Amino acid sequence: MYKTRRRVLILDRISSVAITVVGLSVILAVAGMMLFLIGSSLPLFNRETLDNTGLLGNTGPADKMNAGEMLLDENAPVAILLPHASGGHCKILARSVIPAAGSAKPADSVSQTFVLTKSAADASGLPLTLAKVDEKAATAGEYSCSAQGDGRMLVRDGQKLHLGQLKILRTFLSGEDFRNLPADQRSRLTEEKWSVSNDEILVKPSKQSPAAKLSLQFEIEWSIADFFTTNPSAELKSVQFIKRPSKSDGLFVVTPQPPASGAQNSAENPAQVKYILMSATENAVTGEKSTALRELPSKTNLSAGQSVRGNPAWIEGRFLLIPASPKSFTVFDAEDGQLSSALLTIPDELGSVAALSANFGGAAVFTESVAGGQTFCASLDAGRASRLAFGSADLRLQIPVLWADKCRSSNRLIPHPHQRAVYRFLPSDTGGKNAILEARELTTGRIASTAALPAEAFASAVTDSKGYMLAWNTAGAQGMSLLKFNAPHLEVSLKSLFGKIRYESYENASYSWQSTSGTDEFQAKFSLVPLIWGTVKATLYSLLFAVPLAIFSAVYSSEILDRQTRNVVKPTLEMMASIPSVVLGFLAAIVIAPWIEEHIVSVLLIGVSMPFMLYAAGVFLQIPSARHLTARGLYASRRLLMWVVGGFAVSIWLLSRAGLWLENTAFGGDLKAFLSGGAGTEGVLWGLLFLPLVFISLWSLPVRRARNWYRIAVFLLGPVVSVWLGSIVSGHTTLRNDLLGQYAQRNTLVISIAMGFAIIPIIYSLAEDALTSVPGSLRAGSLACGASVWQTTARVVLPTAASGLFSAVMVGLGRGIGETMIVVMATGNTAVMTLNPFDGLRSMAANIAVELPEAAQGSTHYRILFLSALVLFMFTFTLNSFAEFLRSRYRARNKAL
Amino acid sequence: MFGSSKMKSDSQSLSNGAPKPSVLFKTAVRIRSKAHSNATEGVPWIWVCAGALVTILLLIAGMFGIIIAQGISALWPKSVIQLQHDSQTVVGMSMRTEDSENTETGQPESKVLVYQANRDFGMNEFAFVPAAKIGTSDKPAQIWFAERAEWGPFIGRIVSPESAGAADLNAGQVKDLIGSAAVRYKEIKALEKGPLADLNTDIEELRLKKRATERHLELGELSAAEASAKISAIENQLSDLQTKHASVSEKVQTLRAADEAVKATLIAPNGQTKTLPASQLLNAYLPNQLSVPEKIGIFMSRLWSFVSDEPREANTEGGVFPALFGTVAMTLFMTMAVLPVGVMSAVYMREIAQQGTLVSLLRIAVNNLAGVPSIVYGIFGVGFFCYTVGVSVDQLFFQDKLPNPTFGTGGILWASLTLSLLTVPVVIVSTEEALSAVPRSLREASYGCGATRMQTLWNIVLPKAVPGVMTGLILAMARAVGEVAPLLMTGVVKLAPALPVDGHFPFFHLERSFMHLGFHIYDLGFQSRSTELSRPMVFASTSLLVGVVLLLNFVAIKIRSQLRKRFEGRGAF
Repeated sequence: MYKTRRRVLILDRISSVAITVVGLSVILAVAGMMLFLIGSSLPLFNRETLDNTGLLGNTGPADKMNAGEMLLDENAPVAILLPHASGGHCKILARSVIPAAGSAKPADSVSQTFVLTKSAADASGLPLTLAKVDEKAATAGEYSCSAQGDGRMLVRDGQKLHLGQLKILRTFLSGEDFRNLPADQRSRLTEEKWSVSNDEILVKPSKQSPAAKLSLQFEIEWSIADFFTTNPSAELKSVQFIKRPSKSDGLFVVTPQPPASGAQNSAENPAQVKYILMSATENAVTGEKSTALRELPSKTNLSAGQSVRGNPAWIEGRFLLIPASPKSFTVFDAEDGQLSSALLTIPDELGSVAALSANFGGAAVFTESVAGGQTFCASLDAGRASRLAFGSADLRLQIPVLWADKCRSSNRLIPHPHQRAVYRFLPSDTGGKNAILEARELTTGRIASTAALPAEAFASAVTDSKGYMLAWNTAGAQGMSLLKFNAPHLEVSLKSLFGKIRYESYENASYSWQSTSGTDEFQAKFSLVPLIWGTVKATLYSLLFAVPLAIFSAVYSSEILDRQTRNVVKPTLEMMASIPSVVLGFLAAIVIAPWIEEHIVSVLLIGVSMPFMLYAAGVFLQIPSARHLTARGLYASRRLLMWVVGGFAVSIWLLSRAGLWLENTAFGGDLKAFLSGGAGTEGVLWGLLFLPLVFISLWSLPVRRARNWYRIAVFLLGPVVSVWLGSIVSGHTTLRNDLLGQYAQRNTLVISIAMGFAIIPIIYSLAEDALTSVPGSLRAGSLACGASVWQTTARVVLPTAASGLFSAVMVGLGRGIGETMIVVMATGNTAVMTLNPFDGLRSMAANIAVELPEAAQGSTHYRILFLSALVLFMFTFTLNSFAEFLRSRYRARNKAL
Repeated sequence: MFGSSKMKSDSQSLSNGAPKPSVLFKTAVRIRSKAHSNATEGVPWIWVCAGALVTILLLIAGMFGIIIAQGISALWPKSVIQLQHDSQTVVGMSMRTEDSENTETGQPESKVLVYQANRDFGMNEFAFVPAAKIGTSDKPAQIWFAERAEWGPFIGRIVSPESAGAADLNAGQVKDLIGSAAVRYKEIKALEKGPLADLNTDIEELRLKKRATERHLELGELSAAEASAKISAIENQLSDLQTKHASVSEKVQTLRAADEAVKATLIAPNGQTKTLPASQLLNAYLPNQLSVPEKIGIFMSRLWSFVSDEPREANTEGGVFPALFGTVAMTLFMTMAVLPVGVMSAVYMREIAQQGTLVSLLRIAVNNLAGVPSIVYGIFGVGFFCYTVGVSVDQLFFQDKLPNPTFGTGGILWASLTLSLLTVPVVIVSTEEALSAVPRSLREASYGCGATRMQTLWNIVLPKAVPGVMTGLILAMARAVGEVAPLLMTGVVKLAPALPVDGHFPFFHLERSFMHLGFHIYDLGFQSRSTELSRPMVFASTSLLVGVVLLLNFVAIKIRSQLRKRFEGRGAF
């Protein structure tokens, strides 16, 4: 007995297992890809979460804050610093909390108090610096200040008014500095996230950045020398600054009395309020800063006893809404310095303005109003304001109702700092339940809410630019919590992806894809519908071009062509499949597009009538000596191809002449001008569209006798009939702007030809295989029964191969849907939704290719691109599986035949 | 019924599943046309079918015609013409004639597009001359066409700077000037690419080492004393290297100064002159004095520099060597990844697995993988390879370079892995086909001799299947060479600073981004300063790319037919 060596057996086993693992990994790859795409796009639909990042220590009842009077370090909730003006003098309380990982208790905290002092001239170039003082000490600074939100402060310096910004500075420690730290501090820093000593907060070095020291700085942006000289009655407390978004200027509101502490709203007679506009300029060369003040005339239409509430607010960084009465605003346009003549009025059903504040991007304003005992919170979208002629009495605000329930005037509405959303905070005292925090997206109306707030009653909430909210308890324990509301993809919902949305500054609801723009305030529009439309449009138009060509060629080469020619033709066509699509795209854009633009009428004419010309050629050649021609086997050989090539040359020449003539007579010499509204007769255009229909319907009339003469008559009559029909139709409806409209150089027609190039070899090859695999016995039987070759092909072979042909078309469809480079290069990539073949489009695949390199990883945009890739994947997955299913059934049936 | 011997052969071919329709048709026509006129029924439809095929063939021919003609004309030395119109003189190369409408009168007119070059002489690179207004047109003999390192080509006179424009340099003098400049250039490049580049790499390495020590200290893995000792040692080495670096770069500086001292003066047709170092001229010829063999010679040398030179002037001039190299390197890396996986999967499906649900599921998976759009692979590649795998690799092995990503961004490794995922179905399908063509008898004979399954596979089956595997691999390579969409995001760049494979350890720099011919075409055709200016380069690159793809396909087809012949003889089918 021979025995196989152990080593061989072990190797056998090992390689078997290895091959199996690798083999099965193909399935894993497909599944893994799908899972990865799902995993990357799913967070778009995640539920919102609320992180309780830490609890601040005892703050004392004096520490009341208003919205925005909080400052956080940019990267993490390291420090909270509260610029706090107490009394007439400026005292800034800085309180930092260092949350310990996984616990609500602070690991460490620092409390520091600063006052503003005049700095030594040489120190930092800043006129004022922060000096640390003992918290308990009664020493007040020399200057009085008031907080304006987002760390901005107004400081009075004699008759001067400084407008400045508190900033948290992050100073990175060099390797040397780090080595020189005291040993205990260094070891603490390496063990924990932060280290706090009496003076400074140190941040642990991470993989991304070295250790850093945090410190506080006050930087003066603008100084107005004689503010208090020109406004002698003003006190610092009664001055408020409302910054114009993304500009450095803004509006001072000077009220006769200082607003109540902690209140956002002022209740005033506007006649007594001064609105002073500050415009600021900075000389780009010298860096010199200058400001100019202008007092805006105030307008009111108050009746006796009424007062207005709410501060002015900027919309779209341009229009300033100034409350004139509880139900109306004056509008000031900062671009042209004009005050509107008419007032902007709120509809009666919404009651009166309770609060007013600019939202992110300055594009929306919201109010809170009482009407008939019920309370509404509404958002004013001033989108139309910028479009309408300014000063026109027609200036209107569109007011979608945000919350019509549970809304009380005591609820706080807080604009989301970087999304078009409004937070609403419902304290627990509304019904003895948990406090609720809600964010509502303004355009889609999506509400993200959380009831997971801590059980204690929260009185108020504050946001900063990172979406943190600070909530604190006034009733019981004097504690502050730092909460983070995570709703990173608030603007995304199924409605925003697939539904019609009325975006800001849009008059009507629409499907729109506009992912990026120059400014941060731009509203991104993420509707997948235009992209899907573009994908389907490109694919269908190119199938319109490719399917007839590919299927007819496959029929010819499998049923008629002799074997030698076929052995050359088939590999040639199949090799065409490997032409890189970037080459096709490039040729389409650089060669085909300009050429077609020059010869558009001829191209259309050739496209529409070439099949009929060919058919006609067949008919005409048949008449004189049909028997003779067929007997010589003309149709079966490559000689027919020669004839057809000749016929082609002649008909292309004829048709291009005809095209020129047609363009001059019917379309005023220029079809493109005609399409965009120029002179011409539309009947001819309709006629061109009707031509195929007319031919086909005239043919299918049941005329038996003298068929050839009848056919010739059809050829002569067809164009006449279709133009006649066209002129009738054109009297009733127009083609332009709807099905055919503006002509763009890189358009769907160009795509359909270039993508046709890519699809034809695929469909041709699969269709050819399907046709040749029809058993020969079927053909023989049909021919034997006296059917002609065409009859055999059309009635026996094609029906048998139908499912195979269909599956070939499906595979071609799949290729078209995923085609990227051709579409990127030859369409102009405009996300429009028209049927017009002369218009551009933006397909999903092209969109991914263009936008993914610029999308920030993990952003909404990035995830939506993954979602569109998933949609593409599912599209092609379904198509290919279906095609595969058809093919396997077809194979099984052929086996049975 | 059909008694002829022809039908016998037909019935044979029918039984083989490959009918010969033409023969059937001929026979049927011969018989039926005598009996009944029905035989011609539907003949116009056959014309339509033939027309469809002809349309496709004509389109293919037209496409290749355009690519090849434009590609050749991009490198062909054209003659320089001098046109007089409206008392203006235009000197340049006639590119083509365009028919357009006069913007004022609206009348159609034809214009000649003339390439004037001389961008830095206050001239427009292109001039449109109305054909009707051309007075005289001649070809001045003493006019040079020179390619320059900067500012694009020059058309005009070349004189020596001393004679202040008095006498033109003759052809021999210009050739000497350019030849000696090339030698000096080579010397400088040898220093820069050799010792200087080595020193730079070493300095960068030491800097990283220092950073690593500092990080270890910050993380508490090193004591302060140890760290400072280490760091001072590194700093000593660093200053050492920096002195060396300074001395070498000084040498380069002197060489450069000597090089720049040799000058030539160019006089443009508009009279402006410019004196520049002779090394700025890369090559120069008198286009109107060339004979046809000389033209062919220049064409060949331009073809060579096209494939072997670095690109210049934002890729619109010079060569495509880095793009070609990147394409080849990426394809080879991809081949290394795709070959084992593809072959093993096919072997599993054909030789190991029980033919049943699992295998048909696998086939569907493979089919679907083949049908997934390439852009989906791209987005998967960037999300999975770059941002998931790459970022973890960086955190494990390249912490010192952070926050600059090493593998955490696009690079040639991720691009080739993405493409290998894209092309694996091609390899699987053709390997499977090849395996199924290996006769069962061979396997049985091997088993009969006592060989194990793996021994049979390794020694008997796979060697027979090699041509099939090769076919698949070559087709996969052809696909990879032409694919651009997934590369857009996984590491291809417009201009790569360094090649992915070079003489510095570890020789294969898989993290580097690279240039690619297909992307080169996309970028040049769509993002360059002027489409007109980059047109010759794009067409030349397109011809090159199409040539490579077709060559690969052609080889694959040849191998496949060879394979078929080999097995046909043994009755494999």
